[in-house]
Amino acid sequence: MDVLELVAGEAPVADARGLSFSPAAAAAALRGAGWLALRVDCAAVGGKEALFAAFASALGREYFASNWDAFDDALTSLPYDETSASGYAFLMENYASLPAETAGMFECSVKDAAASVLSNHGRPLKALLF
Amino acid sequence: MTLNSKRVSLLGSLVLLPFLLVSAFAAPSAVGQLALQPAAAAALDSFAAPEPVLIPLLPEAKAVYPGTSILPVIEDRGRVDAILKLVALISRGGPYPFSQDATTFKNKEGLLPAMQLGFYKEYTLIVPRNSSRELVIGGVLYHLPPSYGVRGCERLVVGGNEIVYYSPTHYKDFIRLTVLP
Repeated sequence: MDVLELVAGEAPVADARGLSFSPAAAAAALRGAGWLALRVDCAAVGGKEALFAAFASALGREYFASNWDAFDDALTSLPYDETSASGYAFLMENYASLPAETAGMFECSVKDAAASVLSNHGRPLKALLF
Repeated sequence: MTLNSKRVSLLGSLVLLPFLLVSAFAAPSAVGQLALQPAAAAALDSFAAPEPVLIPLLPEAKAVYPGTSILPVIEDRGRVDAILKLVALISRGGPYPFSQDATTFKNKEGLLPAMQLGFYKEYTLIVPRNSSRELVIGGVLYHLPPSYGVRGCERLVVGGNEIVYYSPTHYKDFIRLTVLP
């Protein structure tokens, strides 16, 4: 299975561990297909604050407050209507480093945001776990 | 023991008797006075402290109403005007400028009282350009994060279609507002 087949699936959170492509290769393939692909390294992420900081730096956002409600808001407030990307993918590297609780909350946020972005902007939003 | 009890009981009756007699004779005249003096009756009514009558409110009866001022005091005229304008828009049911407006606020951090999903709705508060990033509300100083994106970082959250909260800090702080008519 290649990365485009993976993101073509229904699930907003897809596990890419054990598949043959690297995060770098996946990002290149997605960008080639018109996706906005952002790599988020979770290696040093010990909790939600660090996750938010990693996202803020990946998104190039000036700021979003360090709480899950703000994170949800940020995910649904990306400039979807100003970009012509065919989809949005967060490539979560070293995902196993995330504490279980943070990972659970993160996946819940991605699922909610994916439903909202699909219904409001007609485009898929995915988190790929590496 | 039994004898003592009877004595006490008898004594009690004797002691109470004068009061009972007075009451029996006084009562009709009191009723007469009440009937003759409506003003006095009204005055007595105010001392009666009746049980509050609980009228069940239908969900439709709850609403956000527009107003002209806000408590606690927000020491920024531009923001107060923006809040009143948004409250008025909410009271009319929209239309809202952003797709995120009137959507469910999930209260994931639990800073608002825990309620069923869907109880809270959120609305983007757009404030005048170059509004101060320091804001005094009810005498408390809030440091606002730098604004980002078109929607900024300020929100109103409405609970149960009637309770209005203001979050100037992207869901970090919530201030319950009273909108005065």
